[in-house]
Amino acid sequence: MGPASGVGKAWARFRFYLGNPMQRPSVLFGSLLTAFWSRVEGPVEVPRKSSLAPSDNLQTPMNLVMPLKFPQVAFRGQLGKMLFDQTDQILVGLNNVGTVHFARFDVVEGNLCMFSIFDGDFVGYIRDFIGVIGQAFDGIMEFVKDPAPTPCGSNVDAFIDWVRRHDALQMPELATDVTSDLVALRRRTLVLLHQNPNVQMGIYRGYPGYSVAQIRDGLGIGW
Amino acid sequence: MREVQGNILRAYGDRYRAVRHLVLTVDDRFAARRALGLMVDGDRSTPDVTSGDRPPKEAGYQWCLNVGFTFAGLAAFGVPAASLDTFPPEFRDGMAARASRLGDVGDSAPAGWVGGLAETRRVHLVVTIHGWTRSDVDGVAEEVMAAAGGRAFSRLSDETFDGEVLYDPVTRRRLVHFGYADGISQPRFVDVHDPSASPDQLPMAPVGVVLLGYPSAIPHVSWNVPQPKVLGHNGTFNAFRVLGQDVAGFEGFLAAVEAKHGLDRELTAAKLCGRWRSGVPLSLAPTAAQAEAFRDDVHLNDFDYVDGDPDGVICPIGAHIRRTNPRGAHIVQRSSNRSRSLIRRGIPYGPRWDPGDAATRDTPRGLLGNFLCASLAAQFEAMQYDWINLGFQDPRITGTNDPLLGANDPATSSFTWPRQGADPLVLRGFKRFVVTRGGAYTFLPSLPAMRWIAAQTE
Ligand code: HEM
Repeated sequence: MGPASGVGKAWARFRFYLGNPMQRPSVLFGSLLTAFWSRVEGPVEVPRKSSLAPSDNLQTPMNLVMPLKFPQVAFRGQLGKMLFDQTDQILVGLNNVGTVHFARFDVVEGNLCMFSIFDGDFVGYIRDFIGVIGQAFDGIMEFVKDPAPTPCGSNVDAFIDWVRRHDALQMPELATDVTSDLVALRRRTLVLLHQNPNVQMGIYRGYPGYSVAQIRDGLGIGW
Repeated sequence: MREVQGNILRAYGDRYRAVRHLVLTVDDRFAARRALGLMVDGDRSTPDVTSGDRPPKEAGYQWCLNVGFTFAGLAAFGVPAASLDTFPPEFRDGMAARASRLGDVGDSAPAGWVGGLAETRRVHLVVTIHGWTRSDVDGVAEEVMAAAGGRAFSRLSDETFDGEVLYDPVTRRRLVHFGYADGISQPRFVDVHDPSASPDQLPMAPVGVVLLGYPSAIPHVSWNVPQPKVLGHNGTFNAFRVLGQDVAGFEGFLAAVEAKHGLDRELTAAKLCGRWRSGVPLSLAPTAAQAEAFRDDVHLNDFDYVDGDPDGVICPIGAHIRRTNPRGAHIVQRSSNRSRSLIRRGIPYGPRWDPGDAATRDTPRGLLGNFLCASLAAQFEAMQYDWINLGFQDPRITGTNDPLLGANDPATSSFTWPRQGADPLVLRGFKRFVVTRGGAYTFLPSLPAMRWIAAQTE
């Protein structure tokens, strides 16, 4: 796969199976209709795929969107200080997880977001980072709405479940992962968007198919 | 220890040569509870679950009994939903549902599993009987099935899961098919094993590696104990695996490497596993002559990869035992060197492979494996998912699978054999030698927990 094709395909497919919902029917009518379908369809889930192809298990995004308890600037200031105080633990910890390409903490519209790209299994990634930065996450839980039970190191499954629920939906790159019923495809896609306000719609990878350790090894910077 | 089932912290030992795993479905909940109650009443005149308090051989027992419950099995016994909800998700899903993560695809996919093991909702119990002889096992199996008027459970199919220990006639060591000595490296537990009895460089493991209710091997992390506490405490999870082995295919590959590269088959076998077939580790005996001369049974596990072999020139990074236990070696998941340890209790099934014996050449053979741990997801599945397959622990093997048992395909398989002062040799085109024929995730409760299950009234 060439460097650009992964992302190109992801976005093109997404357009293909949505059609152009904003034109036909009107936005208002479309929204009402989607709300109705959503009731009829019930929850639509897109399971995370696990496959044995290495490339399917590399550079997976996680987009945690965690609503903050309070919007005030002073509160965000305290959050910033807490994260700042934990910086060393977080950096060393993520380095010890070993499979993380990058991880950033952003505050976006009243949400604390942790956006990261990692290699391997989603659940394994969360479990490993609880092991090394669990205490930092216990600190984070004090700032977010409906936090996971703490300490997260003693509530691993509950924490994994909480993370799963706060991870933005990733639109699958293959239409058939939404449904193999092509007639229902557009409807189900809209229902998915309706049920998941936070969605990752596409992703670009500059060096697809490599693990973080392979890149570091190749650059000779230690892995 | 008295509360924990036997064969978990300590193996039953070599005296118990025959094993049978009865895969059962509960027919009548009330009768099943009565039968279970009899198995934990401490009276060995009827089949009784063996406790881990002392070696059964010392007690003179000719047979030992273990009971494992699947998630559906706990429900079938009437364990309340509130309690069932406290079990971890991978156990609730069952092994078949985790197939893609475990590499159980293609010929290994649940669709081809034997003995009804893919019917996750109907597999309730795996009752395991070890005996000195086959007839010891037969006798106990009959009694188990006849308990509570014979109405409690039935076998899911006619498929028998019978195993028999294989011994090397010369070294007397236990073998697995493919001809390797097995049962050498196991975690040793603080306060259970005497470190001076088996000197090796591996640190002693906390019992929380395998038992629920104790600190795990990961600092600050403890696994949830299923509730109520009496049910979960001192229990352990087990991945029961029926693994078919293609010995002819494996030997054929060793022969092909010999023909193409002029490398001795025994050396290739050692490089693929990390131990010579005699059990002597490459790390302590890099050459055949050294392995031949190695007589020190006590130190068979006394090595690490940190000193002197960072690149796998002696023991390849992709070799089976280095993948499944990197010991102190530098790995990508730096926090996981010791956290995925497992207890392995396996006994082979099927006759020893003998190419000259037409009658048994094609008889199915393999390993009835039990992989015990406190967290199936963090230990067994993690090991299987990205160490045995995928090879994420070291960038130099990423994208390759374990040569002995990975989900290999001749079109893509490869094994890197690093060499001193020369380019690595890359072996390609080998097939998958170990096929999953079935399996189940079970929970091995403590003895008090089984009394609690037997006393349910729901
Ligand atoms: C038919 C399948 C298998 C065969 C023939 C096989 C063979 C072996 C052999 C010969 C050894 C070396 C003996 C020893 O160190 O005690 C070994 C060790 C080991 N195997 Fe396997 N194995 C199989 C399946 C598995 C599976 C499915 C797993 C894990 C999910 C596994 C995990 C391990 C571990 C953890 C060790 C010990 C490594 C160490 O501590 O150095 N094996 N195996």
